[in-house]
Amino acid sequence: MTAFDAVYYDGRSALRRAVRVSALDGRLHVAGEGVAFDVALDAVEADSPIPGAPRILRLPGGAQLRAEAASVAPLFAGRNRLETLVERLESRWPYALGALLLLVAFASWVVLRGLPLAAEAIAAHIPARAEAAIGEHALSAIEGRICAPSALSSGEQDALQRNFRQMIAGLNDGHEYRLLLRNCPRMGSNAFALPGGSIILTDQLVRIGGSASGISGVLAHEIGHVRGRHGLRMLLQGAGLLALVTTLAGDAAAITSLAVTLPTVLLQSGYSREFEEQADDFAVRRMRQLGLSPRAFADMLALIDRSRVGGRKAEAQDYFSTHPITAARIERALAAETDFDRCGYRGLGPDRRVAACSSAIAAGKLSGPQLASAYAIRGEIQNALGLQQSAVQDLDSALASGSRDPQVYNTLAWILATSPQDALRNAARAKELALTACELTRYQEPNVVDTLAAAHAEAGEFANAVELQKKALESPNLDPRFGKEARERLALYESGRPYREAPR
Amino acid sequence: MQQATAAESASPAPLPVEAPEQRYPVEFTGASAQYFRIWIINLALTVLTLGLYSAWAKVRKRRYFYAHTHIDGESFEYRGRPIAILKGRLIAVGLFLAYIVGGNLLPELSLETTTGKVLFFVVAVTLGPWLIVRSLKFNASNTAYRNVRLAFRGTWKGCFLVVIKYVWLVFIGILYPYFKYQLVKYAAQHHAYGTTRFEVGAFRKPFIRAYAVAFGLGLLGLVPLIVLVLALGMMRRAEPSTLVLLGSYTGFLLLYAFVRARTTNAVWNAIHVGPVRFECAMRGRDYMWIYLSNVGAIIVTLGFATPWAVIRTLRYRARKFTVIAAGPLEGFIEDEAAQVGAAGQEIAELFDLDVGL
Repeated sequence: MTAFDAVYYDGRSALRRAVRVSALDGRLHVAGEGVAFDVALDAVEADSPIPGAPRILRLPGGAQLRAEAASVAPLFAGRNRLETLVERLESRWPYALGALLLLVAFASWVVLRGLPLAAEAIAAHIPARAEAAIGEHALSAIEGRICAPSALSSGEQDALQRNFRQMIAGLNDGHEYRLLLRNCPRMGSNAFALPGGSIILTDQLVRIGGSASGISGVLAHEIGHVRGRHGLRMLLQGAGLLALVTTLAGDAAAITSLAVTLPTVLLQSGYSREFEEQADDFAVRRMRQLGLSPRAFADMLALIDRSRVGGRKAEAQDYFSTHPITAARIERALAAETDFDRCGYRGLGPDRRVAACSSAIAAGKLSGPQLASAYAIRGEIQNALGLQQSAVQDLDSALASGSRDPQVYNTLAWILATSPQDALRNAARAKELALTACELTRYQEPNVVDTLAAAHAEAGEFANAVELQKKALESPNLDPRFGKEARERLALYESGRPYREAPR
Repeated sequence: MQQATAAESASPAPLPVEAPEQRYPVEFTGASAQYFRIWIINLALTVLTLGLYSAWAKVRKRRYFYAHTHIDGESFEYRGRPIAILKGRLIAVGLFLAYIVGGNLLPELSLETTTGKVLFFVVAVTLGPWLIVRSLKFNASNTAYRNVRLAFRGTWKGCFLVVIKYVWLVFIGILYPYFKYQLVKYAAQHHAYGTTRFEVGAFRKPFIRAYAVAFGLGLLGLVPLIVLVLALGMMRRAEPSTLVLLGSYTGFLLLYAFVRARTTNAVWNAIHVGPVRFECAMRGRDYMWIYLSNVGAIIVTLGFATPWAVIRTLRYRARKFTVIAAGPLEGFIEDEAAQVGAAGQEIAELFDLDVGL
C-alpha cells in the first residue's frame, strides 16, 4: 500500500485542504479535515510531470489533488507515455547535450545545404511565367521612382543592345532576356538582373568608361543570375531562413523581432555572395566562348569599384552588403584567366601578350584552332613590333595549324611582298596568299585587295597591280586614313616600281 | 462522482470585516539550467517532427512557467491541450498560404491597390476582434489557480464595437495609445476568476503617460542618431549605414520595453478581483535593460541564451508583482454553470493566439 500527503481542491472553491491519500485495491482513499471519499484509480487523470513541480491528479467532477511527484509516480506508471518520456529526456544533461548537438548539426545543414537545395528544386518547378511576374513586380517598383529612361545617345544604346544580343545568342534556356537601359542616379554604376530575364544596366555604369568587352562581362554576369534563377532562389531561401530562425528562436521572437531579423540578414548576405560567385563563373565561361578575355571583366569590376562612393572605406562595409568584396572577385576572374586568354587580350602590353602566347603554345594543351590563333596573334604582334622574321615564322605556323583567317593570309602576304629585307620577300607566295585572302573576303576588303596589288607589283606585273589598286581605292569600305598611302602606291605602280616598307 | 465532502455544505464564510490587508508576493521558482534542458529537448523534437510537435512543446513550456509561479504557496496551472493548439496553428498556416497565393493570383487585391487596402481593413476589423476574443478565452479558460479557472466573458460583438468605435484613432498615429487603452480596458473588464469579475478602476492616465514618456524618450534618442548620420555623412557620402539601422532598431526595442513595463503596471494596479487587488511596480529602465541584454545575449550565443533570457524576464516580472488581499484567498467559488462545455471548449481552442494584455 502506498500513502502520501496531498493538497485537495474540490473544484468549486479555492479552499485548500491538506489530506492523506492511500492507494488500496485500485482505489485512492482520500481523507482529511472535512474530506473523506475514495475514487477508482482508473478514473483519475494524472497530468504529466513537470520538473520541480508537484504532480496534479484530476478527479472526476473537476476536483484535484496535488502531491509530491516522486510519491505519485509509481501509481501512474505507463500513463502519458509520450510526456513521461519527454520528461525523462528533459531531466538529464546528456540528453540535453545530445539535443544541442543535433540542433546545431541540423541548423548548419539546413543553412548550408538544405535550404539552397530546396530552393533550387522548388525554383525549378515554378513556371517561367510566374517568375517573370515577380520580375515585373520588382521592375514596376523601380521604374519612374528610382530609374528614368536612359539618356545615352541612340548610337550608344544600339551598340549596347548589339553587344547584349551577342551575349545571349544561342543560350536557349527558356528565359526571355531583354536589356533595359536606364538612368538611375541614386544607384550609381550598377547592373542587376530581375527574375524572368530583364537586365537593367545603368547609364552611370556605361559612363565610367569601361571597354566594350568589360560591359559584355557585366552583362554575362547578370545573364548568369537569370540563368541560375538566383533572384527567385534568394526569395525562397529568405523565406526558409525566416521560418528556421523563427522556429529556433521562437521564444525570443516574443521578446523582439531584432533577434530574429539580424541573423536572417547576415545569412542572406552569405547566400548572395555564393550567387555572385556563380554568376561571375558563368560570365568568365561565356566570355571565353565568345573569345573575350576574363581580364576585361576583372578590369571592369575594378573600374566599377573605384567609381563607387567611398572607394576603399566602403570595403569594410562589405560584410553587411550583398556583393562580395570586389578584390576577391577580381582575383577569381583573373585566376580563371589562362595564358591563352592573356595572349588574346588587347588590354595588355605587347611584351606580356607575346610571353603569354609563347607559354600557351609551349604548354602544348591548346586545341587546333586555339593553337592556330595563338600563333596568329603572336605573329601579328611581332609584325607590329617590326620583328618581321619572327612574324613570318609564326604566321606560317598558324597556316600550318589550319588557320583560315584572312587576316593571317593578308599579313603574311604583305610582309612577303613589301619587306625591306630582301631575304624575306617571295613574290610568288605573296600572290598566292593574297589571292586566298581576297577570295576569303570576296574582294570586299580594300585592305586585302591592296595587298594583292602589292604582290603583283613585286612580281613585276604592274598592269594588274594598277588595276587592283584602283579597285581598292574605289571600294566604299576604304578606310579614309589609308587613302593617301594607297594613292601613293598607285602612283608607284603606274611608274613601274613595287612598294617597299621603310626599314625599322 | 464519488465525492462526499463534508465541508461542501457549509455556506461561504463571510469576509472578515476591516481585516488588515495581507500581502502575497508572487514567487517564480523556474531555473535557467532546468528550463534550458526542457527548451532544447522540445526544440529538438519539434525539428525532428518537422514542426508538428511544436504545439506539445508550447504546452510543455507553458506548464513549466505556470507550475513555477506561486502565490501564497500554491502554483498556477496551465491546461491548454496541444491538439487544439496544433489545429489552430494549421489553420493559421492555411490562412497565411491562402493570403500569399491569393495575393499572387489576384494582384488587383494586393495591398498596393486601394481595393486591396480597403479589403484588408475590413477583414482586419472583423476578424481581428474575433481572434482577440478567441485567444483571450482560450488563455483564460486554460489558466487555473487553486483549481479555479480564469474566464474571459467578452464577446466578438462587444470587442467589435470597441474596435469600430475607436479604430479611426489608429490613422492618427499619435492617438494610437488611446485605441490600445480602450482595447486593453475591454479585455481586462471581461475577465473573471471563477465567478468573480475583474473590476477595473481608472488607469487611462498612467497608460497614456507611458506612451507619452516613450515618445519623448524617442525624440531624445533621435538626437544622437541624427548626429551619427551627420557625422557619417561628413566622412563619406554613404547611404544610411548599418550602424544607423542598428541604432534605430535598438531605440525601438528600448521604447517597446519601456511601454510594456509601464502599461502593464497601469493595468494591473487598477484591477480588483473581489477583495483582491494587485501591485505591479516594474520599472521602465529595468525592463529596458532586461530587453537589451536579452537580445544581446541571444545574438551573441546564436540563440542558445533564449531560455536564460525568458526565465530572467519572468523572474523580474514576478518579483515586481504583489497580490494584496483583504482576507484569506480561499474565499472564491467557482461558477460551475459558467464552465465551457466540451464542444464549446473545442471551438474556443480552435485558435491559439497570444494577444498581450
